[in-house]
Amino acid sequence: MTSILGISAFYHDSAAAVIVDGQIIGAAQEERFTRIKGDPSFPHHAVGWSLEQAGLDIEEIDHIVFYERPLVHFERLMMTYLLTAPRGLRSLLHTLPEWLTRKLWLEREISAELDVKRKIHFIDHHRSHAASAFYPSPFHEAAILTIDGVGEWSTATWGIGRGSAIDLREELRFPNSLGLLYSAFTYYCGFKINSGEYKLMGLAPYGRPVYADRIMQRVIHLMDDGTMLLNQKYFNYATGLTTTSAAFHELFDGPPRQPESQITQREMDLAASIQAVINEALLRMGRFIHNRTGLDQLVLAGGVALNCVATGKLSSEGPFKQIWTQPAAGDAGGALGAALSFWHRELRQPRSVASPDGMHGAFLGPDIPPESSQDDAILRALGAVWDVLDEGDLQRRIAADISDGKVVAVARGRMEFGPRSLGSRSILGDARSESMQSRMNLKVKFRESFRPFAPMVLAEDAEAYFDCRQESPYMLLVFPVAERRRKTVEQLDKFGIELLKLIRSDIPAVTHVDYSARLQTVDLQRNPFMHGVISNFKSQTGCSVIVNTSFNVRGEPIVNTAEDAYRCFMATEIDNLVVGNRYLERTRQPHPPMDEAARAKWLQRFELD
Amino acid sequence: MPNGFNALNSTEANQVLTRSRYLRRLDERRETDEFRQLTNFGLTIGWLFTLLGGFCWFCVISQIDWFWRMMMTAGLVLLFLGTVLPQLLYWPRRLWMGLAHLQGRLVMTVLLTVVYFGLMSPLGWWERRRRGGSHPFYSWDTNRPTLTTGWETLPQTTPDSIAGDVQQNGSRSLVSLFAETLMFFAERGHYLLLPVLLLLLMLGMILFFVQTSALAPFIYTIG
Repeated sequence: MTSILGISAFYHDSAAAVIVDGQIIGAAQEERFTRIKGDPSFPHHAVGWSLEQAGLDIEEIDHIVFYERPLVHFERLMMTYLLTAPRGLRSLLHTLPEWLTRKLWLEREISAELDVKRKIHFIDHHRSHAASAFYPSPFHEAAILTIDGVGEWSTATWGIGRGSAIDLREELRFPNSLGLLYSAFTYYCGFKINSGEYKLMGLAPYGRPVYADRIMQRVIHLMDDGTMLLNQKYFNYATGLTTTSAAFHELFDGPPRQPESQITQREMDLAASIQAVINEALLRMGRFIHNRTGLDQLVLAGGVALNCVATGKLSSEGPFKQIWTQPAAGDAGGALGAALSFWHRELRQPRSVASPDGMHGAFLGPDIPPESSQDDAILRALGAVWDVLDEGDLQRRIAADISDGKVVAVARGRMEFGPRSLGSRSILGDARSESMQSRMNLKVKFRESFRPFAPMVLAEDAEAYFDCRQESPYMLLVFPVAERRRKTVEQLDKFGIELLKLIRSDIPAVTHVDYSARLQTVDLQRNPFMHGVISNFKSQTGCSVIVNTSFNVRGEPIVNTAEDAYRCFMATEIDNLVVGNRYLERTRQPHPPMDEAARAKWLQRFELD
Repeated sequence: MPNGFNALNSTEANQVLTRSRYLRRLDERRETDEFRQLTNFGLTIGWLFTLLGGFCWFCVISQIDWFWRMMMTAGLVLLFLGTVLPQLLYWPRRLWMGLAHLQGRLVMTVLLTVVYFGLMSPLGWWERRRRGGSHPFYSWDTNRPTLTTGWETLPQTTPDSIAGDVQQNGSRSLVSLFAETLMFFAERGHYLLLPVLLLLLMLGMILFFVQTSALAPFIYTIG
């Protein structure tokens, strides 16, 4: 038996993963345990949980692998400061002390954190991404594309995966980066980098791409193969502490939007413009890689792969027949990729292709089992009251409540690894409801009213509702709502957020203003419980689509334990809660829900994203 | 009538949760480390204050005898607490180390600024000249770049050797890591950077040792 512990840490979204003889035993993000969104600290809780899951002590782990090479990262920093001197002093003073005292000596740091005397292996950042994308994918052979802000030097790489071998061929290098370009616009539009990118993507359909030409002509030099040069005149990330420069602000008619201030048409147009550029760049990259590899399957990872509008376009309009994206495409997934890369590349172990894929539906985290005396004790200590139902009754009850217009939260089974809730830690609602979108945003999630919700649809019925070319089990592709489902709306005098209130289809709660939807197809194999819930909903209402959003409030990491779930339930206006096989009704709880003051205090715990 | 649900109070539920073996060990380790650090702090600063204060009070004719006496007394108190009740030194140590950290940052800022302008800036100017327009930090106004691809061949890395994986001590000495870093830069052809790097690594090592030492404020003052 050979066990490998993969770790990603110290930048954002720390995580740990354990594989034993090539099988994924568990993977989890530190934020879910510490309740700090995107927690970058060493993932002690995730390591501790992964070891328990594998039934191993840290001394029994055979190999420990980190998802990046600190020396190469340091080389990039030093060369950047050298080539941009004397403009980079502020950045150097901010960055170098930590590098010189800690990050450069990661081998010692990790050994000390884990309290082991063991060699620590380091795998290239993009190789970790590539491994996380290819090895668990359902393909024996596939083209690989990884794109993010920046790894060591690489900001994007492509290659070929065949059997157990990954051949990474070429890279795009810092400072030219699709991810950093998108982050610059995220910051400029007043959202937080590394968490606000989804908001920018959700905002794009409200705007018109009026700035796209300006971006293409002045800010970047986009080439036919999808690579780009970023005109450093407009950026500050290489030498300063912000991403955009004064020239950028002048070019786009003003200073960056202050976080939490009113969102105007300008931000919507900027979001639409940068989205159009990203779509085009990814499409060109896809065509280039298809041309070079001749392969019809593509696997994706890296933060930019979470831009599901762009990957949806690549799926619909690009040359590949099938695209598979690692559900933990960001840095957290690097922990899993590093471990898998070590198993197949360093230890030269063969790979068997799993069906439907090797990610087990992304349900790789801590479990809330149907019955558990520990969860009973926790809920009792919190004063909760519940009924126990068997699985079939539970599915029928959830479906009935959703069809009655209620909002039901589910915390059951193993938690998802990656940023998307896929049914184990989810809040569910009726996609047919005209008021569900604003109710969920304002009364349940306490987040901006412009943000769209995603649909869960039975995989076998997906084409009846959406124009989708392939399955999307991890909610990572955006497809249009089918033409026949759409309703014509008169929107001439409406703009911005007002557009959202118009009813555009017979599933309005999940139809964005451009008739798009970030789809999750639910199949029996990966997700039998949710498949049962939606099947019941279908037999009760004739509709195979429900709303699925992550079980958390704004700024909060997705709930992990039964305790997190009950606290979130009581802090919000969720009607009913499922924890394992327990059904908790709001009206039967002995404690009244939080009042406004207590809720405000509760929400303050979570830094706004 | 029951009270409103208080989500901030989690003590009862937390008592039910069990921590993993790994986390329990981590807790124990952190507790032991903290105890050791507090004892070290009490004894180190205690001896220093006692000896310095006592020497000056007894042997040096000074107008601030009261100060040396106070220092010696403080030293004796620290020695006593460090030996008997180190837990009481938690906040004094935090304050002391906070000051050391601040001082460290200030000294580091000055030294890094000197290295940056004195060494890195001239080297950077030389390196840019050597590379002509081919370095990756492009900026343009009207003449767009003529480049047609940004893809570059990825350097092939060899898989890590797993020989001695378990036997090899993960806590390699800082000196060997130091040498490895310099070798890496040399292998990648960054000869120009080596003197700068040597200086920076030495600065980093001093800061690394000093940040964890109770003597930090004195070392900076002497430095």
